[in-house]
Formats: sequence, structure tokens, C-alpha cells
Amino acid sequence: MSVAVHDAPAAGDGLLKIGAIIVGLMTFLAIFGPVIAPYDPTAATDTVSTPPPPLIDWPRLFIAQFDPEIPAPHWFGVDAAGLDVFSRTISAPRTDLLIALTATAFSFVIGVTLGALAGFFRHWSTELLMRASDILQSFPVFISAMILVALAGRSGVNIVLAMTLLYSPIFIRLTRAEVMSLRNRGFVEAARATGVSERNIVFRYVLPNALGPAAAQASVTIGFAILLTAGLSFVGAGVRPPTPEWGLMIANGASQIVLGDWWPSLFPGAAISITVFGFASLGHALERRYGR
Amino acid sequence: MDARPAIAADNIHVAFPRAEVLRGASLAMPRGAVVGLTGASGSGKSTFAAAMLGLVRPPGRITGGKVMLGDEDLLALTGSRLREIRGSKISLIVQNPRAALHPMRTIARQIGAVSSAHERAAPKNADALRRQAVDLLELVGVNDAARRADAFAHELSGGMAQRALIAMALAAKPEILIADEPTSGLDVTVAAQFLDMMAATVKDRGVSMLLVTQEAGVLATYCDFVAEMADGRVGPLQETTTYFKQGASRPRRKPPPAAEDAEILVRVDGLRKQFVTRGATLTAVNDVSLAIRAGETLGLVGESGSGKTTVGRCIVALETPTSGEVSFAGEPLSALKAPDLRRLRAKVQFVRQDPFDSFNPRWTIGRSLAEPFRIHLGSGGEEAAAKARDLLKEVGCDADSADARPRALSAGVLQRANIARAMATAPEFVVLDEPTSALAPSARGDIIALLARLQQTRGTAFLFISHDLTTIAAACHRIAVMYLGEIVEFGTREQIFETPAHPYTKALIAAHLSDDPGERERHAARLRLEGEIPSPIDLPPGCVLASRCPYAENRCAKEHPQLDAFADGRRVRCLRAEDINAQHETIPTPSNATEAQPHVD
Repeated sequence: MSVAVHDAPAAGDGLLKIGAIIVGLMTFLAIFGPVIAPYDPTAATDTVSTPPPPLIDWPRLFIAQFDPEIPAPHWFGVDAAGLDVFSRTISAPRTDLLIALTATAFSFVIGVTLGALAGFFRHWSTELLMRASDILQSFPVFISAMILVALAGRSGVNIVLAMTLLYSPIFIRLTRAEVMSLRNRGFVEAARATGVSERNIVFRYVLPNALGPAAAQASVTIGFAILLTAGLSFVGAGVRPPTPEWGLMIANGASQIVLGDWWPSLFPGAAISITVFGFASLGHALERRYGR
Repeated sequence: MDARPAIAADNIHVAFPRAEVLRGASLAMPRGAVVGLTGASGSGKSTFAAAMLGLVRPPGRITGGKVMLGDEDLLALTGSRLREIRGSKISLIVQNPRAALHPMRTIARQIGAVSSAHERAAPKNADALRRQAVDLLELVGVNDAARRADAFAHELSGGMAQRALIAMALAAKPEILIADEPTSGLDVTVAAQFLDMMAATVKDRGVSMLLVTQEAGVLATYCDFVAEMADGRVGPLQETTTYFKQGASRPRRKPPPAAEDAEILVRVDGLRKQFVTRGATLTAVNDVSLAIRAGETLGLVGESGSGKTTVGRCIVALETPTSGEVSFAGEPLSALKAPDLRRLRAKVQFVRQDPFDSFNPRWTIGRSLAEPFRIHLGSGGEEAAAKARDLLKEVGCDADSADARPRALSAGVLQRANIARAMATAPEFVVLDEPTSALAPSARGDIIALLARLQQTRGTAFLFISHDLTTIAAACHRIAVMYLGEIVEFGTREQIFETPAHPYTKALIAAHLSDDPGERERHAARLRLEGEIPSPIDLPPGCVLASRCPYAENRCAKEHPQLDAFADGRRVRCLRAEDINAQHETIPTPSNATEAQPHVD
């Protein structure tokens, strides 16, 4: 127990709460966003390039909403194509979160399985796997994803596949390291001395104990995956317009910023920041609590 | 003198995210005394020692309590005032000395930094600071202090680094010293020298010391008072003699006799195990031969790194020998295929040292205990669970502990469960690797009594591996002494303890700290070994002890001795065994003995 001692830090719980609230909110929007959106996120309204109402008017406008006769205000304004920015911003999680969650889930399952095998059995094939992971991880994720999607075609499925390929090595490496340290732990040896078979040792003793760090990493990876999804759309290698998607919205709004129209880009940009921060905070808090 | 305690911890709580480690621990340290703090692994000793300075390992937090030093509550202080107190009034010595030293600064600079930070009277220039550091190093018994002062941490041996650390702790003249298992990384003979020096220095300077240790011998020999921790609380402060007089839990002095003509169950022949690390070959075990009879306990004793655990692991086939053979009931293990080996596991079992690490942390104890029944007896779920509960009762645990997870149980209960799991399939032979070293001294006797009872009722043979002579003496019928991968002496319990024949055995017995406070005076060492253990990577060609042995002659460095039969039937690996034991009385003292004998009769 020769671990260094420090004065007690008090962070952690706050991070966990903030992260959980943001993740909860985004999950809610991913499910109900398009339903509660006041306007159709893909259909033009009767105005274009309208700024959002001044903040001071928001309480009044909000109360007025209880009267069904009064049309919904454009909370975040209207973009150059006449689309309601608020409706698109809250509908986007269904695209961004779905892609990010699916890609992370695939990476997690593939990475944890391969990582456990690579950590437990030393074999030329597992060595090959690790070198392949090295190669994948040595390229910038964004560039690789862009090229892969450009080659395979712009679609949600291809984005998920590209991200799975690029994010799996993280989980392989994490799980492998964890399994390698667990492999020499006393309870694994005790199981072996009891006569438990190697297969049972891997799946009943080692793997369940190795999941902690990978699970914490998953939350962080979801955040990065959201950023990547938006980034790909921003450079035109992501989902096609007019799908409500944050990166796409920023890209469309970017050309208007020089004209002074800040709102079509600001709100989706803020949404990305908050979401990535939320998932990363949750991940770090979980890692601190359950990881190493 | 101030009648108030030197320092008083009151009702300290320390919480980690998954467990509360300290639950209202209180201790008032008498002035100028050495207080031994003991307890099982995981009882919170180290956490408590650190909390006395307001320190805690993250992510833990001190959630309540006070540490009163004079009129100040250490836990309520912050910033510069706290830093001022730490070091100048209270100092900490940690377990791993080399890790605690700065790797890139000389020892003198580190000691100088402490004194200049805390003493107004400290010399202002570097030369004077260095001279002061050299004086301190001399005080703590460092040979050639002037040269060592300019050394870096990696250039010092473990014992030397620990001395440098205590010199650093004393640099600012603290009133209170907290030492957390200061000798746990040191070899037995070095540890005894270090503790003698530390005890003498502390008494000399009137420092109050809290000494955290699990060694009964250290408590009995160096402490004025003893407090035992359990369950995150500190027990009452007792005088050392009182603590050891409560004989109920003290290890029995002798194991019940075993049949001497029983057949040989386990045979080890010429066992050799080498590990290859970064190109270098390390010989962990060299030419070890043993025979263990049915129903007896064979003790395997040696310092850490002597290869005793590797021998145990080879015997239970957790390690494959480089050469040599282990056979069980006449059947060589190397001939067994994997399924046969798994079947053999029912008859040959293994108990590991650390009970906390021996159970799947996600499973209840009951589920872990049901595994052997499921695998070897084909028991179904409920049947196996019922048998697990019966087994727990047999080893003296509450049957309800079956529903607990390892973290929720104490080291003592867990070690009983660990033994229970090994006994589940009624094995004929069990290897016990340091089964008592994680436990509080007071709990060790119970485990040894349990093992003796199991041996009596079931006729199981044990290989008992330990570095602790007290437990070996209480548990074993015959004893093999290991040094650097070889057995140097192999005889009966009486032969080894009463008339040790090999120079290493003599030194080991001499360095042994008795757990009887009445024997303090007799501790004054009779035979001391010089220097440090050679590296097992390039072993000397002759006798491996030759460089440290006071009896060594020229031929000892060239000729490798064999484990030969000695006059009274035991076996000894020493070229001079016959002549050095012919005249018992004259034991040469080490030529350049720098350690003054600390205990004056």
C-alpha cells in the first residue's frame, strides 16, 4: 500500500450530477425532441433570417404559449432557408445521439471481447490485433473518418461503421490492460487452484471485473462521437441536409455570420458543447468512482 | 512535563466512495512513549496513521473528527500553518522508502530542504546544511555518511534509504513520529538493526512515536503500549506486557504431534525454477528436494525473495518447474494432462496469503465457496450453497457470512473462508502460503489452532510457508530453511530452533524478535550477517551465503555445498557444518560491526 497520500479532494459528486442531468436531458430530446418541437424541423416557415426575440420578452412569450391561439415564437430565430432553429436544435439529438450511441455500443462490444482475449491469451493473432490497433490509432480520427465515409458513401450506417472501426482500439487497449492485471490477481489463481476451467476463468472471473474502466470510457467516447458526427456534417462528409443535425446547422449558418446572423450557428454550437461536456463529465466521474 | 497527550485523535471518520474505512477511531498518545498500532490488513491502520497528519489517499475524505496537537485541531487547519506543523512537530515515515525519496536530488539536499523549511535557526548556506545532513545520517547509523549524503535514492539499499528517510523525518526535530510499517520492505536481519537504531534515537530525543506494524515481535520488543485496530476503530491502549498476557489468542508454542512413520505423500526432487526477465535469467528456486508425509505439517521458512512461494506454487502446479519433478502419491505431476490435473485439484489445494485478493470481489463468499463442490462433486446450486454454509460453520465463521461480499468481511473471517474453500473437497494436502501474515497478531493463534484441528480430524498434510518464525514454531513438525532459492537446512522443529546448524539459520534465529516482552533482553543479537542479499540474477559460483557469512573460508567462495546429511539426521548445506558446530560457544563477531549492541543487559 505504498500509494502517495494527498490532501483530500472534494470534487467528483458535483461532476457526476451535472453530467447525469445533461445526459438525461439529451436522452429525453433524442426520444421526444421531434414530438415537442413547435415547428417541423425540415419544413420552411413563412419567414427567413429572423433573429430570436430579445431575452426580456421570453417570460411573456412563454406565458402566452398557454393560449393555443397564439403561434409559437421562434425562440432561437429562423435561418436563411426559413427553418426554425429551436425545432431543429432539439430534434438533432435523435440523429447525433443515435449515431454516437450505436457506434460506441459496437466499439464497446467488439473492443471488450477482443481486448479480453488479447489480454488473456498471448498468441501471434492477438499480437497482430494489437499492432493493427496501433496503426488505426496512429491516424487522426477525424481525417480517417472523413476518408472512410467519403469512400463508402454519406449515410448514417457508414458513419457508424467508420466510427466503430476507429473507436474499437480504445476499448481493446483498455480492456486488455485491465485483463492483464486481473490475470495475475489472487482470486484468479485461487479459481485455477480450485480447478475452474480456463474458459470459465475468462468469462466468469476476469471479464466481469474488467468492465469498469471500459464502461467509464464509453461515456467519454459518446461525447467524442457526437463531436465527430457533427464535425463530419460540417465538412460535408456526414448526414445529408435537411436532416436536423447540429454540425449541418452550424455549416449552413456559418455563411450567414458575416451578415450578422449569429443565431443559426450559435445555438447548435452551444448544444454540442454542453452535450460533449455532459458525457465527458459523467465518464470522468464514473471513472473516478469505479475505475482505477 | 505536560500531562496532556502528545497528540490525540478523536473520533476520526474517513470515507472512501465504496466504504467507510475509519468509523470513529480515537487514540491519545502518551508523551515520550512508543505506541504500537496493529491490526489485520484492511483494518485501517495506514489510513489512520496518515489521518493523524490530516492526510488521506484520494478519493478518500476525512469526514469527521479532530486531531488535537496542543490546543490546535490539525484537521481544522489549512495552508501554511498546517505545513508548518507537518514536519516540524509531527513527521511521517512511510512503507516504501525508495519511493518516498526524490529520485533526482541527493539525500543531503532533501534533508537540507526539510530543515531549512522548518527551522528558523537552520543554517542559511548550502555547505552548512549539508554538514547538518551528514550529522543526521551519522546519528541514524549510516556508514560513511559523508559519501552517502551525496548519493541519489537509487544508489542506496532499502535499509539505507529507510535510514535516510528517518534522518529526514528527524531533520526538523519533530515531537511526534509516525512510522507506517517502516521495516516491511527490509530483510529480517537488516530490519532488526534498523529498529534498534530507531528505538534508541526516539528514546534519546524524547520523541513520541506511533509505530504501525503487524509483527508481534516488533510490538513486543520495541513498544511501550499497544493498540489494536479492528473495523475502523482503535481498541484500548494497553501496556505491551498486558497485551501479550491475554494468552487466549496467543499462538500455541507447539503443534500436536504427527505420526512419524506415515507414508510419503508429496515428493519434490531437484526442483529448479528460472524466470527470464528482460534477457536476464533469474534463478528463483535451485535444487530443492523435499518429502512431505501424510498428516504432517512441513514448514518452509525464509525471507522475502528466498523462493519459498515459488516452491509452493510449483508443488500445486500453478507454476511449471524448469527442471526437477513434483509427485503426488507416487504420480509425477508433469505427466498429467489438463483434465487429470483439474481432477487432482480436489486432492491438492492452495491457500494464498492475502485473503482480500483471494475471492472474486463481485461474488458473495457463499458463491465462491460453492465452486469446488460444483466442480468436483457435481453438486447442484442449492446443495452446494448448503454445503458452503456448513463449511463456514466448521471453520468457526458465522454461516451468514456466506451472503457477504469479500469487502464487507474482516481479514480474519475472510482467511477462515479461504481455508474453508481449500478444505471443501477434503484434500489430502494443502499448501498454505503465509496464511497468517495478513492478520492481526492476536488473530494468528486462532488460525493456527484451526489448522491443527483440521489436521487432527481430517489427517491433511500441510506445507506451511512463512517468514515468521513464531508461527512456524507454533505450526510445524519439520522445517526447511530457504535462502536464495536453496534449502540450507532441513530438520525437525526442535533441531532447527534449539540447535541451528547452518550459519544462515543461526542468524535467522538470532534476528528473530520474540513475541514475549519478557525476552527483550535476550534479543541482543548473537550472530549478525553482513551486507545485503546478492542478486538472484548472477549467483556466486560457491556457497550463496559466502559473502555474508562470518565462518566463510576461501573454499566457500569456490565450491558449491550440497545438502548433506548431518550427524543427527537433519540435512545441512554448508561445507563447514561439522567444524563450526563442534565448538558451539565461540561465534565470531562481524569484523567491522558498526551497529552497537543496543540492549544493555
